[in-house]
Amino acid sequence: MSVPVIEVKKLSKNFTYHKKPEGLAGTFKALFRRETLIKEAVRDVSFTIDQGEFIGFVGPNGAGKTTTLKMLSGILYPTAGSVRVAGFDPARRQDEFKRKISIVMGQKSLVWPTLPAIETFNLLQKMYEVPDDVYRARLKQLAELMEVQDLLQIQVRKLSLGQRMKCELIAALLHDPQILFLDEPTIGLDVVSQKKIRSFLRQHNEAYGTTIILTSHNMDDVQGLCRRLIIINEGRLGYDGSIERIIAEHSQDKTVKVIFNKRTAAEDLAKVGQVIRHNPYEAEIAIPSEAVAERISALLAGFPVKDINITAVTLEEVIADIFSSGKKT
Amino acid sequence: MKLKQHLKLFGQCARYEVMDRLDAAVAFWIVTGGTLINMLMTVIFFKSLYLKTDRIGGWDESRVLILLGTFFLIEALAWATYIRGFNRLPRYIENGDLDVYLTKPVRLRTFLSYRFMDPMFLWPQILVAVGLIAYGAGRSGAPVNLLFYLLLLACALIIHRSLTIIFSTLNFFYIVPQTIYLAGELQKLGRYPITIYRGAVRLFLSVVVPVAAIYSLPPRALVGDLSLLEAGGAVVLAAVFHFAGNALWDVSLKKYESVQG
Repeated sequence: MSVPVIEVKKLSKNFTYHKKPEGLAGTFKALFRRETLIKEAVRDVSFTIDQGEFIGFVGPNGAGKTTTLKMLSGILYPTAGSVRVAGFDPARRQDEFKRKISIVMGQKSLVWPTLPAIETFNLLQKMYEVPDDVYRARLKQLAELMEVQDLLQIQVRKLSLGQRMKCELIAALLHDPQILFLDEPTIGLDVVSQKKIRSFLRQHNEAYGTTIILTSHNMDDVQGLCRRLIIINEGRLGYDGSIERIIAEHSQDKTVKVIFNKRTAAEDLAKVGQVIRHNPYEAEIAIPSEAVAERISALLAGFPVKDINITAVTLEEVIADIFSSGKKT
Repeated sequence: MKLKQHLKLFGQCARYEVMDRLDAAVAFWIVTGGTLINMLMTVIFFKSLYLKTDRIGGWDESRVLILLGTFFLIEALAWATYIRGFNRLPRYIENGDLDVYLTKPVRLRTFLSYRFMDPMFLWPQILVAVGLIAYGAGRSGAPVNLLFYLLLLACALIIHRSLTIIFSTLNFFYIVPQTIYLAGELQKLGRYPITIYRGAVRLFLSVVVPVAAIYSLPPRALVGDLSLLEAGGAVVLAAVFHFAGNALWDVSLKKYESVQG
C-alpha cells in the first residue's frame, strides 16, 4: 500500500490588497482611506500525493497553483485548512522539514551570479550538512547527467539560461530531497534544453523515487513527465486524475486528415463525419472516437483516398479547451 | 541550525564576499576614502568645539574621542556584517526573492546577518576607530578596563542589531526601503554624549531607541566611569531588545505573502 507523502485538506489562502483610486488626488485620498479587498487565491483544495509520484500541477495564470506550491513548501502560511508534507507542517518551517524538500523556481535564482556555480554548491553542502564524500560523489553524478562538468568553474552570469537552469537543478538536488517542487523549470529555454531537463527529471524520479510536483504552462513538460494531473482553476481543484483519463473524457471526436486522388464533394463526406475543412482534394473530418474504425473503413471503401492521418487530441488542446470554455472537469 | 554550522557558513560567505570584492578594487578605494573623510570631519567638528570649552555634557575631549571611536567601530562592524543583509530585505520581499531563503535549513535573520558581510571594505574604518579609542584612552589618563569595555561593546552590538531587525520587520507590513536609513539616522544621534540631551528626548534615546546604551556606555566602561548597576542594566536591556527583536521578526515573517504567481 502506498504511503501519502503530501496530505492537503481543505486548504485555503486569502491575500489582502488595497484598491487605489486613479491619479494624484486618488493617491492622496488613499493615504487616509483605502478600500481593502480580499482575493481568495486558493479555496478548499484537498488531495494526497504518494511517495515517488510525478505530478503535473496545471492551471491558467492566477489560478492558485504557485500559491499552493508555496504553501506546500512552507513559503506561505495557509489561511485555513491543513497540510502535511513528509510528516511535517510546512508552516512551522522546521529545519528538518526543509532538509526533505527542495524548490526550483524558473524565474528565481539560487546560484550566485557573480561566482562560479561550484561555490554555491559548496555553500549548500555546508548548509545541508552533506558529508564530503557523499557531496563529491553526488555532484559528480549530477554534473555528468546534466553534462555541465566543464561549466562548474565558470562565473554563473556568463552561462546561458539553459546552463543556469541545469545548475539550479543540481543545487536543488545536492542534499537528495524526498520531495522536489518545480515551478516553471523550463520557462524561456530552447527546445534542446527543455528536452535535456525533462530527460534528467524523468531519470531522477525513476532512479531515486523522489516525489516531484511540477507546475508548468508547457504541456510538453507535463505530458512528457507526469502520470497524474492536478488542475487548479480559480483557486479550486478542477481535476485530479491521470492524463489519459482527462484526454479520453475531453476528446469525444478524433480528427482525420485525408488527401484524395480525385475530386470529392463535401456533402458526400458528411456521411463519414463532421467536415471541418474541405477542398476537392483534401478534407479534415471529425469522427466520434467510438466509431473511428467503422467510419474509416467506409471512407477507404467509398472515396479515392491517397493518404490518411488520424490525429489524437493533445493535452495542450484539452487544457486550452477547458480553460477557454470554463468547462467543469 | 547549530552554531557550528553557522560558523562554517559564516566563513564560506566571508570568503565569497572577499572574492567578489577583489574584482572591485577601485570601489574599495572610493568607499574607503569617503568613509575616512567622514570620520575625519566628525573628529574635526568636535575638536573645534573643544577649542571653546573643556567639556560637552560633562564629557572631556579624551572621553568624546573614545565615544567617537566606539561609534565608528560599531558602525563599521554593523556594516561589515548584518546591515547589508537587512538592507536587501525590502527588495527581497517586493520581488519575492525571500522565497529561496525561506526553504533553506537556516535561520533567516541569522543568515542575513552574515550572508552579505563586507570584511574587505571596512577594515580601514575599524583600524581608525580602534586608533581613536586607544588615543582617547591614553589621553584620559584613567586606568583602562578592556574586558568591561568589550562586555558593554557586545551589549551595544546586540542592541544595534536588534534595532536593525525591528526596523526591518516593518517591511513585512509596508515595503519601505528607507526604514534602515531611519534606524541609521536615529543611531547617529549616539555620536554625541547622551548627557547633552534633556527630558523626553533623553528618555527616548535611552529606552526606546537606546543610543545611550549603544554608544555612551562602552566608553564609560573603558575608563572606569560606569557602575556595576549600570552595566547590569545594559545587559538586561540588550537581552530585552534581543528577544523582542527576534519575537517581532518571527511574528512578522508569518505576514510574508511573497509575489503572487
